[in-house]
Amino acid sequence: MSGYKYFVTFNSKGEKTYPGVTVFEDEKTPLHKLRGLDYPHEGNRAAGVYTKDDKYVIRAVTSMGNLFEIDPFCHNGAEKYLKDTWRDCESVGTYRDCTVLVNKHVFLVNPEDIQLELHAGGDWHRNAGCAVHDGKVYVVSSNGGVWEITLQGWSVVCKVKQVKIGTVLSDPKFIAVDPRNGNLYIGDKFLKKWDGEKLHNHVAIDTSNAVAGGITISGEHPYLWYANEDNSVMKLDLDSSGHAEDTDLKSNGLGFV
Amino acid sequence: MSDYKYFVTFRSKNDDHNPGVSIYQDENTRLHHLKGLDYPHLTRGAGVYTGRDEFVIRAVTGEGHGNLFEIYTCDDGLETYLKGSWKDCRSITTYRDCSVIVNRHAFLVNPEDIQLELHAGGDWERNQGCDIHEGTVYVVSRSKKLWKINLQGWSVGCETKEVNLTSDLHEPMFVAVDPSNGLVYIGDKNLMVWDGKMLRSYISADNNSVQTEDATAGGITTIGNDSILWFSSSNGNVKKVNLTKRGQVEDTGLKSNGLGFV
Repeated sequence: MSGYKYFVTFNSKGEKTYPGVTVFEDEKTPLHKLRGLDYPHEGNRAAGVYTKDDKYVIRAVTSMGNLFEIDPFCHNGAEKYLKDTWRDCESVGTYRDCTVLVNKHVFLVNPEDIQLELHAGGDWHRNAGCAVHDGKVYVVSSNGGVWEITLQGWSVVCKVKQVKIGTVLSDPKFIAVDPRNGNLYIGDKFLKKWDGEKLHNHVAIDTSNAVAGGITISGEHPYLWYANEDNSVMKLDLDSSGHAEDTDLKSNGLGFV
Repeated sequence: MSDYKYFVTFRSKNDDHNPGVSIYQDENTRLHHLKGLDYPHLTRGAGVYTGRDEFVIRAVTGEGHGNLFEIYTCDDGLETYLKGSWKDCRSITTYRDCSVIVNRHAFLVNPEDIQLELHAGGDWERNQGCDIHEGTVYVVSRSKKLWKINLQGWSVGCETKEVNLTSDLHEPMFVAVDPSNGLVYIGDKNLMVWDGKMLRSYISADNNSVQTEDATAGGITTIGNDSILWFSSSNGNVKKVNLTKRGQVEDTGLKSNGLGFV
């Protein structure tokens, strides 16, 4: 997948505006309103998995660490709880037609047939997010480390390589990748950008209260979306030098498809 | 995915009639003509979907060391030789975004990151074709057998289960599954049908069987609501049967050294 196109909000089904789960192209364009679903707790994270014919399902991890699958194309949203070993999931990303899950370890999952723990070493318990780009998973751990895990060649006894690319963060909340150039954006006390060599501070962008974030590409344009502890959803045009805007949307965390 | 929409012909690039590789919706509707490619020998192919409406064709051709190719539809056709251990590949089909390749064993492959031998037991050396339906791969072998391999749950130790469905075939040359009903069609002396319980001859609405003893490869595409079986013959002719309408065999006028499906 070359970047996400849509973002997903999570709310309680009793919420007045956009209750349940909603898939947006931008803050004014909801594509799927799944009002019957109920995500009342903060900190949901999700990533879509493309199925076929331009359809997708959303794999969501809740703050309780459980994994759900949501099909937005089925009635007003069909939801199933994916059992098994996907406990304490903290982060979720998309690799080809699989979901990458990070809790203490890294898993590659498609519930029907792929349920693999990748021997990636490390321990990302209480990680604060992951992002996938070009066959690599980037994870920020709650102790401030940024890790790169190469998925290429994972099938050779499920081994993959992980490299620590920095320990420069104080309290990371999310990590997102710009699919055009591979630049990493990390929601820390302030927004930070990792360009492969150096870390740049965007001191004007306060992400100290963020809980989840990601990047979508709309047309050719990259937007960073993040949700705060007060449930406000913020939007930042990455190609401009402006401030983040409050979209007036509310969400308990955020997902991306 | 066995729900194929298009079939692929393979020819030498010097042939007068549809040289190289062509992708057809039906015999009168060609979507891509990759004139620069050269497939003079028996070839079987299956598409791998890469994302939104794009695909590449994985093709197995000839025998011996390394005979797996990947074909892209850009320009007059781009081709990559996929190295590794894909020797003596005879059959290929598509499972999700991977290729299932059958030689002596069954493999799940995406060259970038998945290169797995599935511990499916059996020995399908000199198998004559495979196809897939709802996560189950069907293989016909020269030992006159029809096998099924269940791919569900393969990641647990890469183990899968194989089952011999019937040993009553004569000289099977292809196997294809109708995605609309799961019926398994086998190109044997005549076209045969495995309905999950028993093997019987395909009989058209006008009470005729279909000879497939000189077939080299075959598969099924869906056009509208109809399932169409396409197969190639040893003289290179491509023929078709409308399975939904229980039709007779028809010559399409096309030529191909084997067939592929995407």
